[in-house]
Amino acid sequence: MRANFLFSVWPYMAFSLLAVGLAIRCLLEQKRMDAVRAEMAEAWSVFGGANVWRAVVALLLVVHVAVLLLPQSVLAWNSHPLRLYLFEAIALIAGLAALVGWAKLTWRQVSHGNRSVITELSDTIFLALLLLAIASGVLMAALYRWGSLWGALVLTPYVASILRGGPAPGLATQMPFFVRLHVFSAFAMLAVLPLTRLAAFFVFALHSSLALMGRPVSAAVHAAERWLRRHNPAPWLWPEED
Amino acid sequence: MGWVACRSIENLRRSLVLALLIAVGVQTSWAEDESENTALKFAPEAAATFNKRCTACHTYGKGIKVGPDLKGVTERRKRDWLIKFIHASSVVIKSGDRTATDLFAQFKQQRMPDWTDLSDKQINDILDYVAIGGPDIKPADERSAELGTAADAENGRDIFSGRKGLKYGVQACAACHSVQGAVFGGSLGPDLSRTYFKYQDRALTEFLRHPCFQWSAGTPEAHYLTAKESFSLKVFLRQAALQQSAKTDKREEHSRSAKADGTSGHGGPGDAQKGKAP
Repeated sequence: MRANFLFSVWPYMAFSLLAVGLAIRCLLEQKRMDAVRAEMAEAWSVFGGANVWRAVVALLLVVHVAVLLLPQSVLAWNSHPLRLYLFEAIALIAGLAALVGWAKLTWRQVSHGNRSVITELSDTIFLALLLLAIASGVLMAALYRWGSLWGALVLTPYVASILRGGPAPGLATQMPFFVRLHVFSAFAMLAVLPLTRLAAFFVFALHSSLALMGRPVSAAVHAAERWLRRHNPAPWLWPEED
Repeated sequence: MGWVACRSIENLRRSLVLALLIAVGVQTSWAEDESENTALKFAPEAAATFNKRCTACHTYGKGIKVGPDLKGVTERRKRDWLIKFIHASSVVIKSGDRTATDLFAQFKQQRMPDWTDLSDKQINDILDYVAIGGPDIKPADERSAELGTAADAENGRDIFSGRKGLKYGVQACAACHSVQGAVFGGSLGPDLSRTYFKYQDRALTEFLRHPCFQWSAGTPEAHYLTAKESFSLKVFLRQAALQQSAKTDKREEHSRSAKADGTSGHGGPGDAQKGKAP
């Protein structure tokens, strides 16, 4: 029952919290883009970290996205033992480097001044979940070899089942504890994200894309206004009385 | 009383249908695998039809059930007669055919259903299947691993490690399992070095017929391993288990002899020199 909740209901709750949270922040900060920019700078100073940290996070994201979006290509790449060892070794080293990066980041977070208790608390929870995700990932790679193989075979279909709207929790619940912890913490991070300083990036991106999408509409409205001004039917309809 | 009888008849009918479905499924998959490279070839549909329509009333080599035993029927009767009889036994009996009327009398005037929907080719295929002893053919994976050759073991190693792809596209065992000293595979699942001795041949055959893990979101795969792949894996696992146990025996023997040397030679003249030896 609990496992069913964690792996079939919780993912949707996390997605909903992410969507609703970002939407509310977008609405609240619609007219305060300068404040959003300032918050982005603050978030960058807290979460940006060193170059190595950014490279490692980007690498880990690429690896995860590759396993989730191109499982067949990953399996084909891993069909040669040497390539498999290389892939796994790089992922493990990146995971270990991410742990070191996380420690530095947390130290910076502790020493950094802040605006509100909620943001502070959310950032701390987000960092704690990030630690869970990285540590469980490293333990997975160390204890349960060839995660890129069985991940592509079992976890990719699980995530696909979530996205298709017909979750198959059995795929996740049959896995060892650290794998389940990794999956759970990933969804939990999504749920907490709108309350953190990192959300400023998403708010800015959403606002910019909405503005970009709205540009043709506003251009059409302006054109219509201009046309109406030129061909104003009012004088014809209501001629000025002399 | 009547209600109990009805219930038991209903239960019996359900069990028969279930057994029939299982038999059809298993036999179809065997036939597919068998047709890979055996000399005895038969149409998989013939085996399925035989199991679906004949086995409810006939046995193959196990005596009379409702109708006669079908082992050797193609030698006892002429092919033309069999085709006519299977197609419409009522017509053959009504025509006064001696053999048909005798059978009708012998089997308590219970007539075989008219299988008018079967074509002559379908009936011929079933008769061919019966003639070559199809119902008695064991699937390749049921053969004992002891009968496997070195080539089978090598094939099994290739299948296990993923060097050789599996027919139904299933991922190689090495994604999750290892075999000590043979394949450096994954560690999500247990090490399979001693699995052959743990399960023994028959249980391992059964085990290899079903996926050990849920791979996809839908129902479990209908096709997992072919009988030949399964047999090769069994041979490889047996070889690995034998090598493991030989290693363990050697180690134990070595430690026993070392212990014996230690106790018997305690305080002996050669001890000082033994201690210096590398």
